[in-house]
Amino acid sequence: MQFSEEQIWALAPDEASKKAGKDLAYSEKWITKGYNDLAIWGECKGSGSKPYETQIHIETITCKCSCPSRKFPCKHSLGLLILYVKNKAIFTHSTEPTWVTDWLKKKKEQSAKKEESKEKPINEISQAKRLQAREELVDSGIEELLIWMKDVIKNGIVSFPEKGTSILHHLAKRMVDAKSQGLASLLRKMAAIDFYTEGWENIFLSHLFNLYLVVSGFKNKSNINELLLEDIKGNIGFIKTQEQLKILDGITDNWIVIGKQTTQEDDMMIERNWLYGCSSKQYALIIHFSVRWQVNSLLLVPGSCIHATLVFYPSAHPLRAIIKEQFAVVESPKFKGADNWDEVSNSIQNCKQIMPLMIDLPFIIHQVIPVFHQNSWWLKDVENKMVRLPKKFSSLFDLLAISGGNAVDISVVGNGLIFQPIGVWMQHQYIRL
Amino acid sequence: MQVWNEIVQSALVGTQKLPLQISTVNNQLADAIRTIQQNNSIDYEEQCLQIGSIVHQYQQTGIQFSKYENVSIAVAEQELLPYCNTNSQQLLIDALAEKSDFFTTLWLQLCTEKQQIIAPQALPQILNKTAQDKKLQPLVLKCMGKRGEWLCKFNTEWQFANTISDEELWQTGSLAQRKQIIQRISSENIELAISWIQQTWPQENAATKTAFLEAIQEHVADLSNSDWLHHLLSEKSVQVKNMVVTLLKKIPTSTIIKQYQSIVQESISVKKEKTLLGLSSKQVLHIQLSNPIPPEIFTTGIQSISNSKDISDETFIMFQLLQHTPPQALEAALQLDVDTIVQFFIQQKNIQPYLQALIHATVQFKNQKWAAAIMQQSKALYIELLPLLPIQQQEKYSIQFFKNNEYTIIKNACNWQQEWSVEFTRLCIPFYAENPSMHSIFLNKAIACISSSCIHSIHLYTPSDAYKANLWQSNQEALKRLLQLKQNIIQSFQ
Repeated sequence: MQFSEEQIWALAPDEASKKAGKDLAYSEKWITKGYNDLAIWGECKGSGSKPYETQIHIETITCKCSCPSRKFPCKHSLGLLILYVKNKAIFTHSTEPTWVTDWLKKKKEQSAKKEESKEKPINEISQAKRLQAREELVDSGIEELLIWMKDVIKNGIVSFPEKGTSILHHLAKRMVDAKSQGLASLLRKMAAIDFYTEGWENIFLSHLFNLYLVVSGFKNKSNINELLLEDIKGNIGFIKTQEQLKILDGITDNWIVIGKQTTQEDDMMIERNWLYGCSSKQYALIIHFSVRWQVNSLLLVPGSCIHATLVFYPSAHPLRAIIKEQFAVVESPKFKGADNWDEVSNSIQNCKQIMPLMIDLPFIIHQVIPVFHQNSWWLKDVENKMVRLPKKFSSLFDLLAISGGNAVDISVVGNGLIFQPIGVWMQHQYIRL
Repeated sequence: MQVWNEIVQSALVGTQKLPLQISTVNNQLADAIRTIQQNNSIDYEEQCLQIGSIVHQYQQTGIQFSKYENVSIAVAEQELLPYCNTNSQQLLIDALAEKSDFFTTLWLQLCTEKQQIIAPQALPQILNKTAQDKKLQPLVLKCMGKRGEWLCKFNTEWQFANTISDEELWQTGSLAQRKQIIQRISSENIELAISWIQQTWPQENAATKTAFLEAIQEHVADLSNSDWLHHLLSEKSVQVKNMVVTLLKKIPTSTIIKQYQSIVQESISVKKEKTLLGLSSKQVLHIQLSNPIPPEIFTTGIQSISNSKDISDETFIMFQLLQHTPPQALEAALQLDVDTIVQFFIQQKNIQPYLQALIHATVQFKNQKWAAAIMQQSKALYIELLPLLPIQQQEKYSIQFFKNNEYTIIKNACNWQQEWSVEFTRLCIPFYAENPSMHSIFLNKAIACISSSCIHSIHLYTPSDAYKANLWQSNQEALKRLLQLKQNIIQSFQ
């Protein structure tokens, strides 16, 4: 396992956990410290009579601790990981103690159980009935949405900034009732537009027309090709289960985690992990949802590289994926991204031709320089082609500090209009932005 | 793209008021739009939605990024010093997360001493902190390297790096900035500070004049010529005049002080007194306010009427005059050495109340010799005298008088610019353990003076009270964590 401290801290659920983790990243805090090919473990002195037993599964970076904390990873797991990264030499290489063996065994049994449950026969008739009932609800929601969209076009959008976004939130709730979580999410994105920013009308209309494409596409589903229909259904909220996906073939590769974006919707934490396959040159998005403080079973460290098999959701332009099997964390091999913005532009064009829905695409682009022009910051490539950075790009000075006016390799996420840098490489070391 | 602009314009006000008018589009797009417009199975609004969707899609598919030949950015200069190591860099981030500035300051001091610089990725955080905490600026300027200098140009809040000369800031800066400059210059050269104030004096208003005089008060005693300050006694503003008097009272050579000194010298004498039925005699210090009292002293802040019925007006006036008389003047007047005079004030009961005035004068005129003499003979602690003594002596008296003076002694000891001895630390830590209210002082100030080597002995102290013992558990953990951080910072630069 080769992680930097920065990468480990990126796993911390909040600043308080980081601080508490730092306090525990000292040798004297741990009564025992050990590791082998399967796990890292340690016993930490706590306030109770019995020390806390902390264990980390190396392959999946999943953590378990006997402490009562509801945060994940807990401060003990973070402290132990940091200590291991800082000073592996003080850990004893040995066979794991019983409490670690028990946990590893339990993990193995759980995954075997999961496999077993997949094999259980499904009642196809009741499943079809459920699907039909849901589609009827979705249809009614779509009709309501279509009436609203027509109304918007007829009466104009100029008064939106004054009226506020309550109508969008109200509609989102209606879509949740209509079992169309995806549409609700698109409406919430529209509500999140900054209506006091110059050009808000362009952004709003882009979202509105995209929403129209989704609903009209679903209405005309019989005329749409199978893969694009999967994209449309995905945008409405028909999501395939992990079990349905895991039976599909995947791509096995060394996947670099090129960025992580975390957002919060009500009590739900949404973690978007952007990956890049070094051999397949395929980008992937792994989304993880968790209720605040709930155990996050997926720990992808930005800048790290995992050898794994990823299965992609069926799509005209596959991007969203799940990890079917993770073999190990490996050293990041050399990788090749886009050499200039034209390559990025071509990729976007290729995507749009087969998948017209609005989608954020990730890219690694080599040798771009941040430059200031027309009161904005841009990223200039070797061909002097430039892309404007978002106005509210909070990590601008981190990017500038690392670049120093020199060209750098960066990872970005964007839809063609705006690109948000999510990571930068400084002398082969990844830094999250 | 014109067609997109037409769609936006129409959508803004609504197709009801401004129907969608498509002017010129290429053939491919025109065909698609025509097909939509001819579709009678959908209403006009849906036609507009379809046209909008297709034009938006067309625009997105053909996206091209602009080319700008002449846009560039200056590259940061090559660094002359090496970057700090990864461990130090991480510790800087840890130091910045702490409430106390001590850790950041310590880190920056060590980085400067070792002739290293801050790694680029840590620069934004330290520069943000420095923008808020100006005290860190000189150190950060030394450690930020060429990359830091380059980076600061892009953020208006980090312009402190583009050093503006004192003269320029004095002429163009805000009152706070000008006051700060005068304060700094006065600590190095009080004459120069005065000459700068004189440059613009006639143009300044009363509040600014007072602020400048206030800025020099700490070092005004070093002024060799106080003529200009005397001249300011004719200022119209009462506020300014009061401030001038305050300053003159700090200058041993000022007319006011000389006048006080002269009265004190006339009022104090050593006399022989008979003891033991007249069989022997001893020397006593006699203090009797000389008459007549020059009335002008009452215009310089000396009160003529006692504020206590137990103290006569004469004693009260004498007390005030003694407060503002440089102690060395007593040596000249009485032709006695410091120790003998101090002995009178400490041992002779009838003049003991004047000891407090003498201490005030010792502090005001920063007389180290007198401070040492008083502390040597005194059986009580005069905490205000300690800062005048060398640290070694301060520590000696702090240990001697620790009991019953713990809080003031620890507070004073936090200002020592060096680590406490093991002996003194062993007194302070148990007091902290017994007094949880000291937590903030220890974590924010005392931490600078506690040696990291104490980390392993902190747990040895346990308060007897269960509640305090419980609190001490968490407090000592916090203290240990900070001591560990301090130790790590020091070690990372070794």
